[in-house]
Amino acid sequence: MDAVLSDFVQVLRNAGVGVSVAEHLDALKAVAALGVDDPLLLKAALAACLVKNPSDRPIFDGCFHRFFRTIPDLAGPKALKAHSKTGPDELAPSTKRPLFANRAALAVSVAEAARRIRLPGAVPMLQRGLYVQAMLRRLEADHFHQDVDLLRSVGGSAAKGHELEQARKNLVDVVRSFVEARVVFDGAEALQGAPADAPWDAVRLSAWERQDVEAMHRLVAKMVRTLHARYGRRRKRARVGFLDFKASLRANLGTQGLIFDPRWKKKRPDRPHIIAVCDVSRSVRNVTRFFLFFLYNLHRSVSKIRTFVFCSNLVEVSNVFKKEPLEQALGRIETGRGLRLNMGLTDYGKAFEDFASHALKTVSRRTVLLVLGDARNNHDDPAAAAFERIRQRVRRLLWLNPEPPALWDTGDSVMRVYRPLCDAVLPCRTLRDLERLAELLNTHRKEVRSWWTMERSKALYRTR
Amino acid sequence: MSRRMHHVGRLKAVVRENAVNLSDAHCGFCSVEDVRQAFLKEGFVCSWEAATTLFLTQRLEKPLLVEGPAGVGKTEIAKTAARVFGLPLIRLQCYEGLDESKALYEWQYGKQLLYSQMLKDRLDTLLDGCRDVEQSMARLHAVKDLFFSESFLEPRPLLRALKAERGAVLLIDEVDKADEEFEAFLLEILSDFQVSIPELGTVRATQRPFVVLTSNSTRELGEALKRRCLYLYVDFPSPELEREIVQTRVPELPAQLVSRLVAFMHRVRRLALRKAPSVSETLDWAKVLLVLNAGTLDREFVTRTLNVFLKHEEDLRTVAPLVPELLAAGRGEGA
Repeated sequence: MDAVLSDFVQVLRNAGVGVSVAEHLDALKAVAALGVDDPLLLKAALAACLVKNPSDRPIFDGCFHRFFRTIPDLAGPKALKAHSKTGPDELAPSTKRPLFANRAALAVSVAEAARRIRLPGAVPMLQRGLYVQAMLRRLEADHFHQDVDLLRSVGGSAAKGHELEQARKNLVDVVRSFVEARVVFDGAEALQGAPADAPWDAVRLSAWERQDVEAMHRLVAKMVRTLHARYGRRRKRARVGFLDFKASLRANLGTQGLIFDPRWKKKRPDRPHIIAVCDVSRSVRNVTRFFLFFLYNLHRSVSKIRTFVFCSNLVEVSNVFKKEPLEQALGRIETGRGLRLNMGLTDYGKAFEDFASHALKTVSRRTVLLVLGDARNNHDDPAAAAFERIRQRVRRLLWLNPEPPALWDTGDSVMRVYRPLCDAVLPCRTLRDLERLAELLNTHRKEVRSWWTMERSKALYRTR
Repeated sequence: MSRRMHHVGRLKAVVRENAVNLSDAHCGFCSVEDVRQAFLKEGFVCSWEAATTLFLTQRLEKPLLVEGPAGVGKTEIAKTAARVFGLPLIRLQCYEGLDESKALYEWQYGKQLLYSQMLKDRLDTLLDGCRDVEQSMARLHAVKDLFFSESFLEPRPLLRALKAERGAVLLIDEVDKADEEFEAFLLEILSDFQVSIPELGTVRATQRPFVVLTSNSTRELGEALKRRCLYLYVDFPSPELEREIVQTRVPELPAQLVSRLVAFMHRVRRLALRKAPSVSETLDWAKVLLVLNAGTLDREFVTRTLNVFLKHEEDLRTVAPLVPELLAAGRGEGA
């Protein structure tokens, strides 16, 4: 339990709750005094030792729930316990655990196993199965089979053997959900923690809750305002411009083409058409959710915008955004319900090929393409050629990566393929990043380039 | 001494220690449920969280910091703990300007003066025959520090708690009202249960007191203080818990009336008031119901007794017109 508790304290620290060493020691003593039998008591005890500010309490609750999330998932042991008459002593300890011990103890032993096999904080999606197997080995799940045999040999009923099988399945489920929790929880969130008292604009996107909806509205409103200010304004140049002959004729048809009311050519800067292509696979879901949220708001206030989402294939969701209420829209996109969205392995190559072959006709020279994703392509073909084709058609190509720059190009991330083709690649983890994006959307290509060279040395590599 | 002897000695020490631990366990609680039951017997209903924290406070021998709105029973925890443990309750009420001499100890100047007057003759004889000042000083030094001994020391709550032989329950009430300097001064006592008196040296607790600090969060307490304590935040109780509290405290009130009363209170708390009525106010009102022998909560009765639980003129004005509505909502929920 000690090691598990250390992990939990680390998670709390990542989430921004300051836990001192002394408090950690208190928690250890508290757990020693209370045991881990009752999740309710465990939670109360840890809270008493580790959380000293009421404002940290919700964070603690969230962390606790997710860290020990195997606890409520487990159903059944009690029922099994009731009518299992085989002497528990004959069974291997590993079998006894899920069968006879309570849920919290099992959760602890699972977490312990995770530590022993050095389960990384962020489990790559592809290696999930590998880690699940390793964890099960560590938990000696094989003993179940031996115990089933043992039962049969001593003349135990088939029903009991079935119970054991059931318990094993249970264990596998618990382990799997534990590993999967790592994929989402630690991978996307706990990598870099912002301090709890950070200003609102530095709060990590994934930590956003409903109460921040207001802040998001404000940001989008501000962004739309600047967009309008920049592109909606007629410039003074219009008054001294050239005569717009066609417009003048049209306007003066009533005077038989005699131009009483001359019309002038106006120079109006091109308003960007935004097309967003967003990865909605599980690995980036926490961040995408808020990005989608942002796009949803943008859809409400800007007319020239289209949104595509992809996982294994690419689907346009502009209509969903335009027609459905927020929760429903986000829910549909995340589950892929009724969208023909294939939620398999993330495939960036396929997504860009889909885009190049189907959606390229929607692209104009005014288009600004936003791609949101971690470029973790599961070692598939990144389809650089398709990406290059898209790149040639759009005015500007911005890539937003929810991972910190230090993690780009690690593992199966193929940022190195896409990065040279983008006008700018920026991390998209905080609201401040989004604000910077808003600025970028409002600047011209040339400025973006210069911004990019300037920033390259500082902001983007700050975290390296 | 041989190595073996040494080993035997250590073993004995270990056995002795274990024995002590065992006896401790007997006088203490074995489980959280025990705590809950013991406190319930003394008329204090704990939530699970509170019971767990109390159990740990007693087990880990650490101070307990209780925060929460006024009137939810923070102070009551310490009082009840004193009854449960059968220990004296030593209370230190904090306020701005509280200092060591009020909290820890004070020399009894009057007594010192009186004694020095009374003992003047004795001192004269003691110093008789001294040739110079140095010699008399030497003689005086030979005598122990008469006037700065414990008999002239007036122990204040903190010192009393440390010196209580059987242990004590020390309640440091509303610690947020005291100055920050005082908070820093508390640190030594809270972490090591000892205190330094310049004239006497360090006083260590014979039996660690059960320390409860309470705070209304009028200001943020220092991290150092919080780190040394276990923490319990007591909020307004859930309706179930509050019903249980009222039933324990005012058992004569019929159960149906209790639940209507609690439901009404919860609805009042949802309004935007300057001071939301707390558990203590609920209890007061329950007692009023009993004294006035009111069989039901009706509009007239409620309007008449609003001032029992609303202590601000504005709040009274806010709630008074809403009484029928609040009561009606209750009936709807009841049905």
